[in-house]
Amino acid sequence: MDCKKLSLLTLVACFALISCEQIIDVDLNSAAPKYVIEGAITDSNKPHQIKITQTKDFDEKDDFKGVDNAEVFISDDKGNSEFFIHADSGVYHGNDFSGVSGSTYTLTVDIEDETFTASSKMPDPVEFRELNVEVISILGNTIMFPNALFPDPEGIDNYYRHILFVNKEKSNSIFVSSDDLFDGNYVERTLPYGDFENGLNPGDTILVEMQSIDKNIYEYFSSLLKTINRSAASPANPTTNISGGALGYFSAHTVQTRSVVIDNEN
Amino acid sequence: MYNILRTNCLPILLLFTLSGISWTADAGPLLENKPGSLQIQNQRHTISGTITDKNTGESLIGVTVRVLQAEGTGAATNAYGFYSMTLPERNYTLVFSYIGYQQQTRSVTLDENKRINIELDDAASQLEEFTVTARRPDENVSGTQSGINRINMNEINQIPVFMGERDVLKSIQLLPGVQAAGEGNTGFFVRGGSVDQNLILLDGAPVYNASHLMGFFSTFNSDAIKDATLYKGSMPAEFGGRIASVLDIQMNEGNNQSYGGSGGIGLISTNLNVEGPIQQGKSSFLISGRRTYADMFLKLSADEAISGNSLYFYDLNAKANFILSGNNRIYLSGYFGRDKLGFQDMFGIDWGNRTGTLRWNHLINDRMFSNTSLIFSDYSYNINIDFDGDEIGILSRIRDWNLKQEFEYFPNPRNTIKFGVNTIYHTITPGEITVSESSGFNPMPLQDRYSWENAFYVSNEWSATPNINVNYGVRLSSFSILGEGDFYTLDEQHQVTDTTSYQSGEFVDTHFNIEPRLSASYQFGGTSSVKASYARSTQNMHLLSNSTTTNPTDRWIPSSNIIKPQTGDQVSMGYFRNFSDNRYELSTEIYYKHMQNQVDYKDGADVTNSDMIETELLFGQGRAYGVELLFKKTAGRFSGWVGYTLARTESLIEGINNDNWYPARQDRTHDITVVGMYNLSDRWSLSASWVYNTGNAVTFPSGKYTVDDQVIFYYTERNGYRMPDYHRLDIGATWKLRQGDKFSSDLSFSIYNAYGRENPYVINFRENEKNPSATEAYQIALFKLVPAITYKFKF
Repeated sequence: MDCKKLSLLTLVACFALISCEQIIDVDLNSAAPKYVIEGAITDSNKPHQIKITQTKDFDEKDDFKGVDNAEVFISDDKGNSEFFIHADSGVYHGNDFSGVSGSTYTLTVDIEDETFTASSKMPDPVEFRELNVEVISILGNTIMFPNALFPDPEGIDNYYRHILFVNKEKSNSIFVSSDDLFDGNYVERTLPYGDFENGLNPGDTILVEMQSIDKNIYEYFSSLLKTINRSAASPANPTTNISGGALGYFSAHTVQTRSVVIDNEN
Repeated sequence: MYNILRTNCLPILLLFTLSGISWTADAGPLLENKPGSLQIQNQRHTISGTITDKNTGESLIGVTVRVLQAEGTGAATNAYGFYSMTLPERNYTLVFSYIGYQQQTRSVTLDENKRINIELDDAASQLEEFTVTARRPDENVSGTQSGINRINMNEINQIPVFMGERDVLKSIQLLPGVQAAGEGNTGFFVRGGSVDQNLILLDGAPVYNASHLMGFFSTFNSDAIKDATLYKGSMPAEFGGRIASVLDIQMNEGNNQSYGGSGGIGLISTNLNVEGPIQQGKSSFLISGRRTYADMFLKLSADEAISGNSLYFYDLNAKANFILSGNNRIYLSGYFGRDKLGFQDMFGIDWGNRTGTLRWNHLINDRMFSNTSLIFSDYSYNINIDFDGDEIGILSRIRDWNLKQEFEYFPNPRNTIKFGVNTIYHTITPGEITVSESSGFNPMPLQDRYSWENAFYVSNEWSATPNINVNYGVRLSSFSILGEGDFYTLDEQHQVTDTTSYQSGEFVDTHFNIEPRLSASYQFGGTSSVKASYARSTQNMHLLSNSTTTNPTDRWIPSSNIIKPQTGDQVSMGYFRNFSDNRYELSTEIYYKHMQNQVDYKDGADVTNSDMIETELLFGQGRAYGVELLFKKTAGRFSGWVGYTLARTESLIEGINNDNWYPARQDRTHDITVVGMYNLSDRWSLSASWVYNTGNAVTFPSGKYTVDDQVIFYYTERNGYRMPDYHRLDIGATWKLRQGDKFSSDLSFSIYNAYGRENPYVINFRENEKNPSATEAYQIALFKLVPAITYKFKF
């Protein structure tokens, strides 16, 4: 629930007058590098892509070099398989087969002596029926936010991820939902963007990608959100579906996109 | 160490308990060894009575009754002002004394059972307002219990506090072995225990969340409180249900002689207390209220964006008591408090406690005191979200019905036996979600959980010799999980493998525990003592908190078929010494505590809305040990203390930090407290407190990586880092404006964090704004140089 955060936010606002912030030096340990694997098989955009990078020390620069000496292999439960080919800076491509709902895909990555594996089952797609932009007024400010609308199938556990692009730029916000609270409903998923001063404007082009994801991936992204927000008392790494000691995730999901331009009457 | 305690000590202790009781049953020879005492063994009579304050009728707790003809023999009044002594027939002189009151002496010809009620006059205390009182001047040395702190309400009124809000919970944080759960926070850790391991009782009713406004203020309005005692070591057998400490708070009873009141106007709140007789000398009432008013200023704003918000809390304490006859007294007390936080019509959260206590004191005979309490206690929070007409509500509640029957038996001046039973029925509503139809959400009912907790206890406070006191006892406790509801079986990966449905009232599981309690003291040289204690305690209500501070939405869960009762075994030893006619006190204590069945989260757990909460939890053990030093000056124009704690608290949780011991969040190595109060003149008094501690354990990242084109921090271990050292000085002054019988008033000034130290509240990490390819650490500090002024009056 986000309510906890909102209430804390209100409180923080109250104490903002007497709190102060400053940059400090914290002596952080360095850690042995770990592999980070990000991979997806989808029902549309080929080539399928697996990206492999490594962790760095906190005080190093944010240039994450790819790992190019990995052996990347993907198979499904129908007997198809393919070695992915290294394209560029840690990104591996595969072209041979399409992702199909209901199939389970298994990723195997070998890097030197280490082997990492992960499986994901591609869920059935759910129709991304509508994308609209809602306008509301809070505290005299006009705020606009996109809504993704879709009919959630009743009686099935569904998990969704939405990715928001504004004027072709990807928003960093992570939007994942489970149908715990809206099983079988026509769902309006709000995708907040920006803040009071710096939000959406008339003329902006909104593009939303909607994914049907499996439960492990939902858990990965919801725990990733906690890691990013440091909202837990003891922050931790997100719960990955990759075994063998790598960070990241491997997801088989369906993809649909919708786009809308905010009209000037708003 | 722990295994020895468990396997060897338990039977021995039990045997000891039983033999001790049989010893007292044949009413051991009391005074026959005393040279010169009369030997009339068969004629024994009881002197008993109630001791009250002459001006207010409030019963006085811990008044000592000494028998001049038999040194080392005496009694002390219990929590309801009652004492009882059974002595051989002869003439005695009794001395009733209580610090801050005029001593009274009575001669008694003990030829039959006598009831002697005493009214002590506190006139003397008017002259020496700044005498820092204890119940008896040498209690530090002479008491049997170690690890016990009686909180002096006078001191609380003098110690400078945040925003001028006097607070019991903030004051106890200045004692060794007790630490604040965060900057300005009322949550506290005792000897390495977590916040939920403290049993906080208000007139016997458990208070589940003792904080207001995200923990910055406590629910206890200090004007309504008569007495507070903190047990951080071996808790007596009449207490149970938590493994770290008991904070036993008693409300004032109300003046049964005349009407009066007091109040205060402070920066953030106003309070008013009225009390008086309902029927003079027989019954009285007390009503005490407090409310914050920051939101009243918000209301004045013409801007709806500001006036539409709410942020306040209030407390209401009420108590009435009726003396029905010499042998019966009834008390009715209640507390009601709530916080409300609202953001326009869009978002609202309110939370608070309600407690009620109906208590009957009954003298079965002169030697047997009975106390029957029916206690209700309720904590709930409510969240309402109205988003453009779509409404979502979340309700969480924990509700207890509690029946306690306690007996105190005074067979002779060397033994006080307490025994009793306690039964509690818990109902927990874990966070039910309700929604309006238009919201597009389905309601998500979570199962209510029912449980039934029972305990039987017996203990004896035994003066083995004039120098050796032993308090030994045992508490037998049980916790039954009741239907209706679905209960789960989990595999090793914490996944549900089976679900069993139980009918309403059906027993799902019952946990039994035997909890021995033992404290002993040996007094020597008149001014020194050594004390030792061992106690086992158990806990069946567990708080799941995923935030660093106390949060209204923290979730209480009961033990279940999977969650086992937490147990704590603590041994402690101490040396106590008073100097200069009890004006200086020195206490040193060491302790070792082992805790089992500790509950923690899995990494990334979601605990807010899940019926199968057990799948998100990990279990393990904890250990805590340390040394506490306290040097205190209790009398004179200058009083105060220096406290120091050296401690370690560690956890071993399956699945965290590769199953190795690691520092718990409340682990803090050094902790220093200095408190001083100085009576400058008749009108001015000054006070200051300074705290210094090394940082608590905290989790920081040890690296970073990229996922989804975002930089993510990489964590290698939990609690592997330390917060920076914390230190802070608070200063205060009180100016007496008027001193009179009819009306008195004073003004208090205080500055919190007087030298403006920026202690980090949180340390966080982010990308550098100017240089997005670099990351940086930053801290947020709260509360620098916060001044406060409070006007207080009494009539």
